[in-house]
Amino acid sequence: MKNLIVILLAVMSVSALANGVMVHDAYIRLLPPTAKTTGAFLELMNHSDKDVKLLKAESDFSEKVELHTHIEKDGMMKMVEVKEIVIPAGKTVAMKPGSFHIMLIGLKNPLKENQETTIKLTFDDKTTQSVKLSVKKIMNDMKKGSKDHQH
Amino acid sequence: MKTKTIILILSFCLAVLSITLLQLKKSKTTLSDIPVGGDFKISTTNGEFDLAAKRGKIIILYFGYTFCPDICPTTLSTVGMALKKFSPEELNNIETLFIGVDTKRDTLEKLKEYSAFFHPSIIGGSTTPEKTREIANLFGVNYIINDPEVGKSYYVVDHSTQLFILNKHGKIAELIPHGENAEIIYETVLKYMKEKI
Repeated sequence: MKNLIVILLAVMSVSALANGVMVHDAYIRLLPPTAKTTGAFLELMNHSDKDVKLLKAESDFSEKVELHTHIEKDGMMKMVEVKEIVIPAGKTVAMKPGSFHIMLIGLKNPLKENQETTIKLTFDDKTTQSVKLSVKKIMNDMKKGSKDHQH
Repeated sequence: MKTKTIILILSFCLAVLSITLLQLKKSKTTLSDIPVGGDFKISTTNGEFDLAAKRGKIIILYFGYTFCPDICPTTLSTVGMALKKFSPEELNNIETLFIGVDTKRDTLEKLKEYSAFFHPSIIGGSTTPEKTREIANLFGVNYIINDPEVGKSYYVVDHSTQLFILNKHGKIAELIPHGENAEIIYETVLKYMKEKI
């Protein structure tokens, strides 16, 4: 039985990396306890030589989970759902505040700092990855972080 | 020689104009959008906020909505970080007002919890949809309260994301675009705080 688990885990971790996408710095934004929605953010690093698309995110943390981004229109920020997020070969896509994010809609419980959950990501090559992430209060300096990624 | 001089002057004017236009485009404002601001009154979690009665104070003003999962929390937490840099005495001369434009969901009770989460001195303001639009117009702020999309149980609000720093005369001193860091907000507020009336 123990061996089987080891084998299963080994198979799982291999399949998780089958498309060469690695997930870094995943967290959920802490908001006041009455918040019914929040965002989850992470970095997707594509180590393969093929573009990979993120198609879906699932979690039992909230009623609904959607992939979103922000677009600027008529001087306003507009939040829209996206069908897919392309992670170009060899590139990293940062899902970060003000940009791509995973919208957790209809939170089942009030948010608590350091609370943990799992989000399952599904890619266009049918591979999936379960990402562990915890609820964090965002107090870092946004501009600094985003500037480093601008070229 | 004369024609040459005229051409030179004209090219110079053109260059200045293009630079000005480029700068305007960069700050995402067009001439007609430049807001003038103005006095207003609004109910807040701390009683009535009357801008005309706040002369001598620096006001940080932001329009958003409490359901906002990303843009508003980012701005408000950056404002919160900036406010933490001030001494309690300095904080007495700053008021931060977050106006909830989604009047249906942005009740004073909700605004109180939401605003204080980012910094205890941030107050939430709410009024009727008509009055909210009037105040927003004073500051050139636009927003659209969308209907829920098909199959969705929630609706989102598109909104302008700039932060306003009002000087001691209650006039717009600076617009800070979304995504600026706490240091910029801190320094801007400090600069206007040092101004003599």
